[in-house]
Amino acid sequence: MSLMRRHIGTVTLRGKGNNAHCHSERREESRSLLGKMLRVAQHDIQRLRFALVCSAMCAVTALAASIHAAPPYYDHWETFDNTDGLPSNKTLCVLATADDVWAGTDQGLTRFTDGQWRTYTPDDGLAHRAVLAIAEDSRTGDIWIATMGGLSRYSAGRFDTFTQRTSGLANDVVYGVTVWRGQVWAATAAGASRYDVARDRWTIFDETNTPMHEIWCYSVIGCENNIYMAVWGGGLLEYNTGRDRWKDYRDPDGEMEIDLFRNDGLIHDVVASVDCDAKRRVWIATYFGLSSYDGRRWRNFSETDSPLVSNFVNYVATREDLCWIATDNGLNASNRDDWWAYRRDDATGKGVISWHPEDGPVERFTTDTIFPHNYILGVSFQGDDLWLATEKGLARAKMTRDSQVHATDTRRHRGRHNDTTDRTTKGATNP
Amino acid sequence: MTAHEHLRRVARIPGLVAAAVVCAQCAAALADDSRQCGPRSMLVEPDTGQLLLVCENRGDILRVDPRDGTVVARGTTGQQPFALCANPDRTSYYVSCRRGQEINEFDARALRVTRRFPLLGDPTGLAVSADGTRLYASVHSLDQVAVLDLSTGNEIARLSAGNGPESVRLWPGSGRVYVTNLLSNPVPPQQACRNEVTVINDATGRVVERVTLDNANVGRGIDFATDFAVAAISRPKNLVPMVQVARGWVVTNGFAILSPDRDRPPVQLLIDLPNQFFSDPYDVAVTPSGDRFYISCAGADMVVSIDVSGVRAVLDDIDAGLIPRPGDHLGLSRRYVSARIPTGTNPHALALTPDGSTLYVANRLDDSVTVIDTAADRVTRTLTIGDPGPPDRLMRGERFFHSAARTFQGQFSCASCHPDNGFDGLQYDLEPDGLGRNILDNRNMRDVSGTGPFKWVGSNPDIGTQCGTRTAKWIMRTGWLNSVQVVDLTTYIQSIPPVVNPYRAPDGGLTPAQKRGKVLFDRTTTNEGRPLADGERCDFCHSGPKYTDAKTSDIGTASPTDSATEFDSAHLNNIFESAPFLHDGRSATLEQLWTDHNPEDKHGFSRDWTKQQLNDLVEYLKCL
Repeated sequence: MSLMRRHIGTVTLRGKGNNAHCHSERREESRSLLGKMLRVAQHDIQRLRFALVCSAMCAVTALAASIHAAPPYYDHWETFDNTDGLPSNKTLCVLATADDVWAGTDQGLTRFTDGQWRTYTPDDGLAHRAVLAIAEDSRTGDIWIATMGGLSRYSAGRFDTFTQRTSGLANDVVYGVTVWRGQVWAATAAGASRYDVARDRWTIFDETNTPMHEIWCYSVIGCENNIYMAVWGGGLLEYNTGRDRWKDYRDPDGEMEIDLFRNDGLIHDVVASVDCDAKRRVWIATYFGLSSYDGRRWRNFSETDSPLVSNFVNYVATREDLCWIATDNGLNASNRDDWWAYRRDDATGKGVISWHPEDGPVERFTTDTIFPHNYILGVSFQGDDLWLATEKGLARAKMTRDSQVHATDTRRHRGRHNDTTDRTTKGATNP
Repeated sequence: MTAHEHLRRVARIPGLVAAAVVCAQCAAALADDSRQCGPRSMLVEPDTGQLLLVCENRGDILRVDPRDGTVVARGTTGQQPFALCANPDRTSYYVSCRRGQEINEFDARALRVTRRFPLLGDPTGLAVSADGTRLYASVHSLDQVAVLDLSTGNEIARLSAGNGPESVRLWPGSGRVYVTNLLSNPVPPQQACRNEVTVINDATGRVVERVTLDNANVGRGIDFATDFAVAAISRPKNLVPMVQVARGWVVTNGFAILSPDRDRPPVQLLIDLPNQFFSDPYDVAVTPSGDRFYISCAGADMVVSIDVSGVRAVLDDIDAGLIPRPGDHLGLSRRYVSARIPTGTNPHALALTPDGSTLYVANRLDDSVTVIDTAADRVTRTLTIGDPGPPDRLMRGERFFHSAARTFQGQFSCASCHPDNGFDGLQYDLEPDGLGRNILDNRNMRDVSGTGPFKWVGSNPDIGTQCGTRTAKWIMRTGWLNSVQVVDLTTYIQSIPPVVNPYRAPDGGLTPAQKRGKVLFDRTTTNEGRPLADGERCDFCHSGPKYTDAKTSDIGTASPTDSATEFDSAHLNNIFESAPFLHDGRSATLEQLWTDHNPEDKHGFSRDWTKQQLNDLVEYLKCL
């Protein structure tokens, strides 16, 4: 408990700085407004009194809103399942590209384009029906698909499949895939494979040439000059491509059931997923909590000392400086300091959403719609929309005006720049 | 490797006296090969009407006066220039150099190289985007299209093409770039080939469509009318016994009509007649009015003129269900082929004047340009480029290789099944021993010197036996070749150099993976230290400069439909481009040789290999 208090205190201190900056801007605005009002007052003292009162009320309201009001949140949810054309409700991953949404299920790959779902199976050339991960090559538009039976490339209607028998792929059970600078990285059950597409060259990374003491790779991503690999039971691996060096991050206490010392390193070695945010912080999903590493310091989160909805974290996906955390018991979003928690109330079928600011009270909301199941395996983004892969189908979330009326700083929540004027207007007119 | 280097390398092979004699002759012939232009690609300059010709053999680009064939300007390209294209404002020309592994940018006026863009692999076709900012280059050996930013010269993407991408053309006004592919996409054994036309969105630089041409192979040139694209193709019937040659039905020749704006799958039509074939269609040129197009038939020394209205009438009948299998219909060509016009030897590139009144045909093997008046579809004159002189033995052999004149009804040339001097990637039922028996994979002709014996069962000791009289009798079905013809043909075949190997470092060094693979290839003990018997080692059967012991072995691959159990120890040089593998082409990749097709360790002792070792070995093999 004392650790938790210390932790929260640090967060609060950092947050105050941010708020101070924010408040300073508001005082400038107020001074400017006041000056205008004084000039007007030279002609009409009554009008001045009225304006001062209004100004003071607005300032107090805005200050309160900046501290306590929640950013906009995803309050409108749609579900897509087998009644909509999905081959199965067991969706294992989702990838939203600029034009399409791709989802992997236990019964094939499915693509949402022009409002229709089109499913691909091994009959179409897919390596295996169970699709575990999907990645897009941003240079070519090709889609790479990790399956339980090999790696497939979808390119303008054609599937090319790579297996351990027909290619240099390390193993046919491919849990994760990413495309980084023209190279395809595949996390497999027997190490990782790198496929240099232009050179048609495969490389295997396993216990023989990396610090990978376990070879069960679950997820892989590229971040600047580094490749990060989530190794189930083996922690996190970092490969510096420029120096051709590997480094492993392991749980320092080595304990399976408890985390002895807080923030001393990776929270647990059973790592399921990894991603990197705009601040180059690495977010690591483990089955025993969440870790975040900024290159110098670790921050660890568990359901007992943070708003994390479950320690069993399946997947992490970042957008700008915000990490979305898919667990077996709902969804979180966090920038380390502020947290959102999304859960489905199975009794009512409604959404229970809570905002946990670092420096204010928790706010709770209820939505009529929510994702179809709390077991979430994938997160992706398309414009303002959020897509989730869950145990009972896909979910697409939007932010409606109802949620945006709470906005005072949408950047903090949505992780990107929004229309400042629009944001300010909403904050001022809908306190 | 240049042709001279290749010949020197061949001459070093010991024990090949006959080959050395032949190679000495081809070396002498090549010593002055600078006189041979070998025009491969051609453009008409719209403002002057002058011709630009790319000389593949000599490595230069010529500006030619179309009135008399005078060379008015000359520029030097990299090694083995192949394709030529211009940017939209015609201030620059681009030439792909296959062996040079680069693209040359020329100042259009001075024909001087202004920039060189090095490229991994052998660039073939070229096209500049409509806005002039990007260059698309097909890379044949890697099955890719490289996309270059012309402002920087940097490569910005490698797109996956079909198998052996060939021509790249921008369809003006459509926003799309079309890429033809020489070979069929991989298909399961005993299934008909499927050629691909790869379509790129010019705005995004991404592949947006892959048009499949069932039963088609050897995609070459492509051109466009307002509402359709037309691509030159062949339609091999490789899964019926070659005895069908006598019945006139082994390789047919034609074109594919692609109509992207209509909801109609591509339609393939033939240019052949029931008893006369027009082999090796190469380039296509559509007149500006769109009422006619021309196809050069490289093996028939002819250009075919096709009336588009006749084609449209046939398409209407196809749409109406009146013609069930148009791609196999040898009688349809009478409805749209309006003229068959003789040309020089081995016509390749076609170019029309902007008004469409004149068609130029570049004849690759006699250094000439045939000039055709399109109003009358008649040859008005022939331009001789430079002074090619009388054909020597090598040239005679090359002409023989590329001519269908000696094949029954002109059905095919050697190059029909060995396009690009290589292979077509197909398996053939060659012998009249029953349908489906003794299916054999077609073999690569490049760098084949010193790899005897020939035939998969190793029964032909030399190329003269393999490709001489036997071929004439059983495959061409026209009778015997005389000894001079055999020597000419053999001389040429032995001179065919390997293609550029993109897996091999320019300095000949090996990567760490290739070094590890070599250790495995040369190993004499298992991973556990047990000594390997001779037949269990890679380097025992795959020995010597071409990695073959010139013997046959039983490696456990005979199938119930094979008469033999022992097969030729395949040479491994340039094996990277020779997929599929094994005598019947059952192995799509090198990995499968050992993962799928070596259950009893007869093809080398491989059961102790790790996946890492297999990968290393494959890396090594690819660089040979």
